[in-house]
Amino acid sequence: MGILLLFCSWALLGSGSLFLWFLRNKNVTHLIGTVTVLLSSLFTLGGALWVLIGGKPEEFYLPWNVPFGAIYLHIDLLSAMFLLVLSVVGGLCALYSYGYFSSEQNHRALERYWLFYFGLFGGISLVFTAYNGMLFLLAWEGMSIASFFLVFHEYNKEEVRKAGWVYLIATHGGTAFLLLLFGILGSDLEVCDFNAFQYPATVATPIFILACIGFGTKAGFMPLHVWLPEAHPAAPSPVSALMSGVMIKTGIYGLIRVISWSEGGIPLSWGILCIGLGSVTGVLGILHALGKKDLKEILAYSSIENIGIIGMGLGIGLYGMSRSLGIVALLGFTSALFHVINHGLLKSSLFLSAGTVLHATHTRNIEELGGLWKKLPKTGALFGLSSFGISGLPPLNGFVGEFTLFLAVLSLSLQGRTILDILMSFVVLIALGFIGAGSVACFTRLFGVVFLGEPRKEIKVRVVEGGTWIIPLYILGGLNLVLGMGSIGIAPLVFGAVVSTLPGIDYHTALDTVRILRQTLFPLGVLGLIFLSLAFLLSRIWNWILKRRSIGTSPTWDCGYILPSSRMQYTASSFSQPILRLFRRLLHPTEFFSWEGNIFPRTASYAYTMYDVIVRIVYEPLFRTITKIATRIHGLQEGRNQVYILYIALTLIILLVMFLGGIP
Amino acid sequence: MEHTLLNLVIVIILLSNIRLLNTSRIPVMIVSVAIQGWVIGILPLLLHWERFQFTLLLITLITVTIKGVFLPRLLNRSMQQAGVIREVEPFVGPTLSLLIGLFLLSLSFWITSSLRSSLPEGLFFIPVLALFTVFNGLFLIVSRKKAITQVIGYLTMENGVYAFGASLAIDHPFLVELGVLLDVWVGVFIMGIAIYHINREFDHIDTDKLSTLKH
Repeated sequence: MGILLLFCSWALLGSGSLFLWFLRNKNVTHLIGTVTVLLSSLFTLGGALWVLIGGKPEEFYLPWNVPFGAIYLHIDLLSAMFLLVLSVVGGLCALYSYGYFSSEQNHRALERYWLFYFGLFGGISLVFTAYNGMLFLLAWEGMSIASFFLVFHEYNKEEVRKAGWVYLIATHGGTAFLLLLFGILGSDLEVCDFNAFQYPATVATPIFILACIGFGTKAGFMPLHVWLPEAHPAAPSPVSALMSGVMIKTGIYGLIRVISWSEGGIPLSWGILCIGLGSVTGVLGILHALGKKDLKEILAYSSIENIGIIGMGLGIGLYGMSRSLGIVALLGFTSALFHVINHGLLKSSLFLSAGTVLHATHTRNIEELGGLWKKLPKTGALFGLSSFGISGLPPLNGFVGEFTLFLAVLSLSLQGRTILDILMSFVVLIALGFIGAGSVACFTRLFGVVFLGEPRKEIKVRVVEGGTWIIPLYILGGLNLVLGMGSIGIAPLVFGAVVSTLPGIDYHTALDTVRILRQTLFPLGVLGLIFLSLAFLLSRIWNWILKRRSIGTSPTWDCGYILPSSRMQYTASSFSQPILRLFRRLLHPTEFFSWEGNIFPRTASYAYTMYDVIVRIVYEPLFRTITKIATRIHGLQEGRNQVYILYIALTLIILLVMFLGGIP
Repeated sequence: MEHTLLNLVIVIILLSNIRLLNTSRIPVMIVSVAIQGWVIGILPLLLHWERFQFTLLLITLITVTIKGVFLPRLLNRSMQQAGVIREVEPFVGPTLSLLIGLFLLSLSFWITSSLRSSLPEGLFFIPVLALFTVFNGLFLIVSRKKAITQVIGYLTMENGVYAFGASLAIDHPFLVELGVLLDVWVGVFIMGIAIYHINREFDHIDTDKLSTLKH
């Protein structure tokens, strides 16, 4: 039945894309596109819920004459978990697109948008259900290409084209490693079905490294993250939301699948590798998010940071598995999956609100924004809520994953016997603490600069807060709150997905872990509820007090000063300056600082620019070397006929001499 | 008698190659390549005298006419049309060309001696000179600038290929040779026309200046 519902969803997408050919009216096209995605996301939701609630995996098998291929679909709890996120986020992003593109005049552009949106949605859901290597790679490519075209949507802008190419190159680089991975996995097989994949310990580490590179490129592990801060700002906001919320999680899904095929134990190095990758990604991600000034780029770096948290969860899980600490392993993987769901919802809601801001002000540069809460109160409130959540503060859902990860780390340090155990738990604890503090700072800065204070530049704000602009945000915000406090409600589903996927979990450990989760997540929800009702009560009391007094309004930061100016506020740059100063050695911001006068400056100014550390340390030297070699080789291409003929003649003569001289 | 003639042919091929290498006057080169064409044209007749057939005579006639008469005349005409009679400033000067020619000759000796076991009895110098002629043609193409000299190099190379085929005398090599000959004829014909037009467009036929077209 679950499979059937998914087939319905694909059939809808397929017929919808056919339908788009025949429509000549752009309003109809737009409506049909939105409704198609909404319906098919409902079907996907139904299918996922059917499997999750029924708890029974479903299969569909059809032979296929493509070599190594078979049309093998399989929804287990893990797939269903990811499909759930996809259906919610994908549907809501489509709904948001209805408002976002309502003023689009170009019929072709709309047609293209919806066609590739269908492709992306269908591609991701096929990635989550495909159970054959060939089919999986096909779906993976379809997903990548559809998302490339969506990133390319505003292709008449130079920066969009550049971002699009960066994304295309990165994603295909990743796919190349996946091809290699599946090639090794299926080398002895006639049909590369996932359930036939099992690899012995001898090739395990190469396979895991290939998977880390291939899937890590999509997920955005550093140093493979470079496409995210390029592609997310360039893409239309609903697309960034879908890509950041769901598509990058396909990398995590793939990694978990690869882990589940391991036979005969997991080496200790995997966990260490994953923890290292995750903590570096998280820490560097949040530092970059703190330094950047482009609204959507900040969100992209925050996605990288959260992928880092998920990576640490996987790492702790792997480490626990290899040390046969069952509870640690289960808690680690559960935290990763929790964070996949919660980050998907939070980040898509942030990107959608960023879309509203972008649409209202036509700028992504946060130095030019300010005081938007007065103009866009609902969007502002929901952006604030999601910022709260993504900073990992209770009672929102961003906290749940990190909390579970803390639990895993704590039980590792309690049960650990070796120095390495303690070291690993320390690394994760420190990284997680750093990331938590960093993301609070980052989102305080982002929210404060964009929504609070006064506008920093005269910008005509188009107020768009009705209908489909705000409904998806409300739904996502509500889900974030509900999942934050009712995490105990979805814990069995997440936990079930973990237990059913990982090899070699015994019953008692699972039971113990369930007990730990119940003992912690339930009070967490209750405390959240109490906190929320207290806050609500306080706000009522506050309103009641204020009712008796007269309320005057004056500009923000007025504070008795005679000539308040918007230039008196903290700017995004001045907010991050102390933190950048602290990490100057690592981040290397180029700072412009001027100060005239003594203690009382007559003029002072501060500005900085900052590039990606990894680009600076890894990619720029790499590409510079490649260019240097290429330039040197380029000398061979002389442009003279004579020289080319000389090359050919010399090659032939040397080959002849080698052959006759008996040199092999 | 036969043997003496064959030796004479060998010497003429060698000398014409050397002459091609160390001269920069194009009329001389054309004459050398024409003589080479004559000699190489009658080579099959000399080598397969005992198996004389009418077709052999026909092939010899055709080859000699094309290699020894038509192509040189065509080259002469192109030369006069282009008004180029000297190869000025080649990449490799005449003396050095001669030294490289010596090296190429010894290379041909070495290659042929490694091939000796698969060669027909009593034939050693013909394949050596055939290879030398091929290398010589290639060298002329590489080291000279004027388009017309390169055509001459191309012709020389073809002469070498023809001589090699004739000396090995595998059953019906001449059919293949005729095909090659046709190609060369068409090639030289087209090059002649092209040289004329290049000259008219650019006022020179220096092929190394064509490299400015790549930008």
